[in-house]
Amino acid sequence: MKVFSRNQGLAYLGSSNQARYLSSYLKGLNTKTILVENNYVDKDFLIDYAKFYARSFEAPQRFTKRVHFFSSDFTIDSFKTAIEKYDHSLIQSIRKSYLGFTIVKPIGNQHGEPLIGRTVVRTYPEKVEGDFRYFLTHSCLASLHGISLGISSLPYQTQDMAVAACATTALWIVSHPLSVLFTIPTYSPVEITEKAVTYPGEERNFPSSGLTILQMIDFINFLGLDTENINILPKKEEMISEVVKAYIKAQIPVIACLKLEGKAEPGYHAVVVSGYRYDSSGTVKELYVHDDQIGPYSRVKLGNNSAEWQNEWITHYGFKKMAVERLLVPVYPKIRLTFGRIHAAYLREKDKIISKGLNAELFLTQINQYKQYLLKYPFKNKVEILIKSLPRFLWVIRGHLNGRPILDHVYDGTAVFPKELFTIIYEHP
Amino acid sequence: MREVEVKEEVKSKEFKEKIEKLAKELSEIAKDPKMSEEAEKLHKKISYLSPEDLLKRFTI
Repeated sequence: MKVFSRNQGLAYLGSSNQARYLSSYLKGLNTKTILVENNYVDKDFLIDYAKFYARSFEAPQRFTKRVHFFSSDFTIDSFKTAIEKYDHSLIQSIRKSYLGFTIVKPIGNQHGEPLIGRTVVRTYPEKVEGDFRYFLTHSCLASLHGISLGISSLPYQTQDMAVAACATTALWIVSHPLSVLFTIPTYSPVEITEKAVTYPGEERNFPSSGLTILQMIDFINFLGLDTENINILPKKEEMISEVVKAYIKAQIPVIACLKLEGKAEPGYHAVVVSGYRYDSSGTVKELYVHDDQIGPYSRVKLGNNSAEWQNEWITHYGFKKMAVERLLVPVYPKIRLTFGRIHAAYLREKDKIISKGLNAELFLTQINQYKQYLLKYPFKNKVEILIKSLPRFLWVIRGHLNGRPILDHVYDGTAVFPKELFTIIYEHP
Repeated sequence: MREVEVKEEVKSKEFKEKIEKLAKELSEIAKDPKMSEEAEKLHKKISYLSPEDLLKRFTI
């Protein structure tokens, strides 16, 4: 174990594009102290090592380094004293200032820079310049020499070109919140590629040369889930924000399938939408993506056409255009009412809602989550609705005023075709 | 969605009547057979995968 000040510690991440991004992100989180655990056994890398790297002639070591980030100042001596004497106040200070960790793998990219493995870091602040941010997160825990640490985040890692291109990495990222939500196992990048390529492609399986959409869907099927494939139609680009809000609110991740142009042949890239920024009317102003070639919570600026994204691919990596072609959403099979079907109802209802001077939004929710929300508000027939037996999944079309709920039109999310259940009109005493 | 402001107008009788009327209009949309047709069309259109799409390889 070693403890460093920020700049010394960040050197452990190397100089890859993702390491540089992460260093900048961590500076923005006010990182002051960095603690490095040597010889850390990372489950994902260990499986990849056993399935792939162990059979290389020059096999790397199987241990990784786990690098922890804190916003408080402490030294190695004070840390050792804290655990030796069980110094409650210092341990609490370390816990409160925890910003997350990253795994540094003992393997390099094509330039020899270390690969960034599983990374869990705090999100940007929730409030920003009168707007709000919403992130797809779950509780991520770490045990540091007996001290339990935890933050809410979405795990990230960079692609390891030998075993996993962007599509595999995107599937690895989405499998974490899906595991929490639907109690399914998670798999290492090699395992994901292995499962996905049981549907044959044209190229070699390993070293990985990427996955096709069918192979991605095949892996999602393997998890026992189903896939919503949502084409982004011309002049309907606002649908991107609507899909993101609708599913992320239910903690369901969205994979964006991108076409990159401006360098030789066009290429295809997959990223995971990890959050969004919205104003008081609910309009999405910025997206955040986990991009295996950039880093976690990479900001995406939305232009006039919200299918054309602006971020490091354009500003730093020399591409001229990045466009969203489709969104893939892994869903629980019981969510039978597809986005396309409910969106048709939403489009018509949205016009009516807006004509009454309200803002409109569409979202998927689970009954327990929705009833917990309703409990806080007064509305007609409240007890009757709260004690009523309802489907596990609901689609809700809400009319609101600056976030204040005015009316919910609720549909059965487990029905094949749009079927309304009830309407809630909120009271404002 | 975070609430940032509660407007006084939401407490007025006129506003309540407007929302009651809106609830009825939304319910009519849900029961409209044309909406079911539109739902089927949109579902098919946005979930379509062409043979070319199926072979696109995500490599970057």
